[in-house]
Amino acid sequence: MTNLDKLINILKGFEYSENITKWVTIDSINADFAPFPDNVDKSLENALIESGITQLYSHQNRAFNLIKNGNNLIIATGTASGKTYCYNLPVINTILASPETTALYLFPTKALTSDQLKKIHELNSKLHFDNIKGRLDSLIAPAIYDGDTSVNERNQIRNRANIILTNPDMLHVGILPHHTIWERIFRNLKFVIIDEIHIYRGVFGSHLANVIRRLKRVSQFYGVKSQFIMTSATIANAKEFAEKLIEEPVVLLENDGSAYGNRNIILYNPPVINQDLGLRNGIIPESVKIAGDLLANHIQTIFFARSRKTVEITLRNLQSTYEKSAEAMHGYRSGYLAQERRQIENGLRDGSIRAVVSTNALELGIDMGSMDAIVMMGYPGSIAAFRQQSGRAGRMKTDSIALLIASSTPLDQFIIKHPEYLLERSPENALINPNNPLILLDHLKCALFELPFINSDHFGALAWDDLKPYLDYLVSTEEAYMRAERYLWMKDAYPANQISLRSASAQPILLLCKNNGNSKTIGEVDMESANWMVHPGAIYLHEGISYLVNNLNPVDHVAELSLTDVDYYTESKKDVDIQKISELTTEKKANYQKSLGDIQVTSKVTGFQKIRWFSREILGIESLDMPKTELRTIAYWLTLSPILIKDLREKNLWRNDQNNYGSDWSRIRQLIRERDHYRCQICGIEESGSEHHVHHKIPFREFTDFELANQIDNLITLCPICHQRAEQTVRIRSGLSGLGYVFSHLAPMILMCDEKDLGVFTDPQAKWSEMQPSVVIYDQFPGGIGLSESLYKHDQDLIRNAAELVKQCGCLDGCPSCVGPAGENGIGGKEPTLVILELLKK
Amino acid sequence: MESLFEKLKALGVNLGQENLHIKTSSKFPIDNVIKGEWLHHQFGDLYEVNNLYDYKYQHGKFGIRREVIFTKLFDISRIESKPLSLKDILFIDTETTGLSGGTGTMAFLVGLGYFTENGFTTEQYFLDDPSDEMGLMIKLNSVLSKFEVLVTYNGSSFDLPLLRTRFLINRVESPLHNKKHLDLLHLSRKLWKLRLPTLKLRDVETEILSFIREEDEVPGWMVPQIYFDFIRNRDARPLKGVFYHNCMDVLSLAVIFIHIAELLADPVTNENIDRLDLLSIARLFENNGILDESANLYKISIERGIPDDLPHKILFRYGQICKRLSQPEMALEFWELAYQNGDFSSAIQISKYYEHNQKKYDEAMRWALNGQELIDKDPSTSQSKELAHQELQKRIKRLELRLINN
Repeated sequence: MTNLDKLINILKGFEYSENITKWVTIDSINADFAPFPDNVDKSLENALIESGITQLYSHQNRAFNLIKNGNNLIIATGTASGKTYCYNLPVINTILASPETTALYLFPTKALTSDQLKKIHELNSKLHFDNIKGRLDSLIAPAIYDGDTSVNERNQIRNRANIILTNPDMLHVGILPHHTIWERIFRNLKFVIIDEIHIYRGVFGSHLANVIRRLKRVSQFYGVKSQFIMTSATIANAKEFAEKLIEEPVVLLENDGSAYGNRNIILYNPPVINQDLGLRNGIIPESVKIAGDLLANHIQTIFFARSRKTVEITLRNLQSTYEKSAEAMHGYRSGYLAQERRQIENGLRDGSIRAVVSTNALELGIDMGSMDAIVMMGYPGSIAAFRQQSGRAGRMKTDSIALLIASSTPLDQFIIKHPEYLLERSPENALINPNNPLILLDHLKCALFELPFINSDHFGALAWDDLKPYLDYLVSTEEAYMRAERYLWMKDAYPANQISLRSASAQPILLLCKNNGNSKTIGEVDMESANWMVHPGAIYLHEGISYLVNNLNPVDHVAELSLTDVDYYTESKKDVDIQKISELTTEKKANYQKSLGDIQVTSKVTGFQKIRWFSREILGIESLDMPKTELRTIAYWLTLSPILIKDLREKNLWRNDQNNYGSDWSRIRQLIRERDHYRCQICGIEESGSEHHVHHKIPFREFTDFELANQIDNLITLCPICHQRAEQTVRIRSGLSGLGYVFSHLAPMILMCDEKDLGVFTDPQAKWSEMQPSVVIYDQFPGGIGLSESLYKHDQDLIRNAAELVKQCGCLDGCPSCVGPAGENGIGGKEPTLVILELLKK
Repeated sequence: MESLFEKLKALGVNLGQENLHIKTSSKFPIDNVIKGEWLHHQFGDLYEVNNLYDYKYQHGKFGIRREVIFTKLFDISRIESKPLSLKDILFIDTETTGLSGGTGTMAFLVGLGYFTENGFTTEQYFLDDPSDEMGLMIKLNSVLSKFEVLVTYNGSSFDLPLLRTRFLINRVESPLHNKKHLDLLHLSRKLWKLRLPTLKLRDVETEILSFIREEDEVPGWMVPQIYFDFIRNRDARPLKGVFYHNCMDVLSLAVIFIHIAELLADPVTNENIDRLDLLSIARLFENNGILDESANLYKISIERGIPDDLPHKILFRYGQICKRLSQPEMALEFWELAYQNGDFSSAIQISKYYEHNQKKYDEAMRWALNGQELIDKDPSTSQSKELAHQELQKRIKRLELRLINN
């Protein structure tokens, strides 16, 4: 019995089985083979056979032929399906036939790039020549060209290499702006390979699409049109996405011919520990619990967490719970420096590291050897990410486990109730917006630096008439010069240096730790996150160690930290204000108005809470005076129509208040009515016949102590009608909050984006919508990245899924899994939220 | 409907001005400011400014020569000097829109210079409008084809790659690949790094040629902005300084060439030779395998007296070369000097010499102990010192044995 079998038995045992809501075993699949295609060079065929490959997978064979016929290709077969051969074979084959051919390979990470170089070298070493003409293996000359490449090597590569392995950043800042010294490469550039394109969505993808536009412009200058070969994990719109990235027709190849072992996919819902509040046991304690069984049975595991903070907290918990194995457990996330990350990757490969807690950085296809188990701490946010993460288990066709532990968030609970959503539905669409004005402007600067623009030029699919305003803009900033509609770069500057492909701001904040006069860089944080992650007084976690932030200096791009051993961590509090700039389009529906427009979001971090470890007690609250950040972006908003509101009032669907206001309530009521002279404080009407009501201004349910709730300042005499109206307003406010809550959790599912790519805000008297009750959802990137636009089209999807989630939730009056915990944003808003959702559906 | 300007401004991009007017003419066009000639060409207009510096002209301490013997210079620079003559050589310096490098930088003023029977002629080609660049490249192609050797200062890393890029971008045939290139920066370094802290063209011009520029001069870093201002406001007056700067660069380049050629052709009788220059040339010859002449220069250096503050490592090297040339007496002189300056390796060399060459073991021992003393006194730590220390220990032991046996 293998270790994995033992673990499976444990999972099926009493300790876990009652919380396992779904267990699917996908049977192993045998490979679908095909012979070598006809035009493969004999020496290449022999090299493959020498490597142990006597035949190809069906998809590798098809790829070869499609490429031979001159197509652009997107290969979207599964993880570890041998996608690399799909492009290496045609490229190497072509070089063998025409040695002057060159190819450019783009990878998103250093680790991937060096893995791929090894693969080419391995194949290269087995290429022998049959007759005596010369050494064949020197015909294939691959080389990595990136930030680490030395000056001498760079010259050699430009002179002699024919397969250039690099990354989008290097292409953007190191190669394209110097294309004249790369002349040989560009003149013979038959192939451009872009690996893992699914990660190039959102901001990064929009930048990359523009880098590709520049690349094609430069290639065209040298008289060449290259073939694009791309690979991707499974996403719904692989073909469409690829076509948007390179702006040319692409053929989709998705039928996977490779083999798989038995794959166990297990959905686990932690038990409820507080019925009324609807609280379940947290994913961190649950992960720590199962880690015990995994470690005991020697099963190498990756834990995928949703946030950097969770990685750190989990790691800390694991190391303190399993002290003996503390050394064999590591965190992995992008804030670590490159060297640390590589050490961890090696430890996974040689088995010395038994458990890694990671954000999604490891989603990328690095050859790690077989990982027996994957634990997903919470739904990773998209079906594609789920497939990628679960695909990391059992890479070498052994049996494997992918375990999803659901968190209390609405989305996770939705998935538990609808496993078919996860297992059967096709993954989401990937979105990019290459024509976002900020991004486009940046790349036009670079493009202009590379080659002049003249009348009737195009930029990718962007025509001259759309280009010209940007070029004229550059003339006005004295970066460009124009005469007779010919634009030249005219500034003593190198624009690509100022532009980062991954964010709005170029330079990250470096985190410096001062210790005994020595300063060490422990990591970095992007500008946008800095205000809420490393504000003065924040506790920053790195590899399980706590650092206190003493100072944040955005001008010098530095945060000063020092080691600390305090017993708490911090969470910051933000104030947000939203203003409408313009409405782009709007549509009136039966019960609501939907709009898409331009808004300005102003945020300010106003303070933070100190939260004790493990017990989660709030130790203190401090206020901060941080600078505000302004974001101008595209947003979708939904405004409740007056008809809907009238409906709400008339339906009167909520139950009557049956709160226990305390034993003193009658006396208090009498006091208040007396104080108010038995008059309604809103309309002035006197009591006649029946007693007026006494209304809590701040709702009773918001208080933990009924004495505070019943203080006379909080009470007011109202006639029954005004009372009902007041209650209705409260209901609307709470219904709206609940709506915002459930939308913020479900919208990312529809848009295949991260939760942090969207901002959500509600206001019963919204400034952006003529003081009507409204929910706004916006792209967290200046100028918008296409998310709100997509939501505008598919908002009924969101509404319907939200309605179903809330309806099916088992809680009493609101919980973290549907509309938000009772008592947090106002009042338990489950009922009003549900009513609103049902009305929105029509 | 918002204009792009307004939109970009709202997104946080704040630099542009809408409706910016670019001037197309002014009271001070280039032909009113500097005397020259328009060259009108189908692909772009150029403005040409020429100057002649005849044989009476003095550039600091030096003048223009009719004859220059540059064979030694070319040999050392690995350029085949037969059958070239002075008229086959072209001197080049460019003024550009920036120093960033890459395809976005262009040369708007190219200064060329060459020798004729009347003296030294400079030809400066100027782009009154950047979009005329193709005309400039075509003209350059035609001029450059008449010469065999191109001489620059730092041109191998700046001017020539830049010109290569400009030819390519304008799709004009480039004559550069079959021309020989001489970058005088490399030789300047080898000749004068002992004497001068920095070796930019201006440094050599001021310190070696003793030439002082006139007030017209503008510093190099201001040049790009002067050009940008000109193309936007069309006032050519500030360009005078740029033309002067460029012309002086070309001229100094030629004079430095003459001076270096003469130094290398005859270092011994050259009246302008500094003691340190003589040593530098000795080293240069040594590195290029011209050993006999090198040794001779070392010998003369000693006769003329070596400056006291010369780093002892250099003296040690000179000793080594003499050893290679089997001129031990001279080697000894250098080594002893080096030892007096604190160099322990020299003491070891002297010890070796006495032991193996002269079989004078007591002398050998004396010098070995001298070396040991120096090592002990030296506070620094290095691998070479450690190795020398170990080697000395062995040597001393061996010498002790020899002395006992005798």
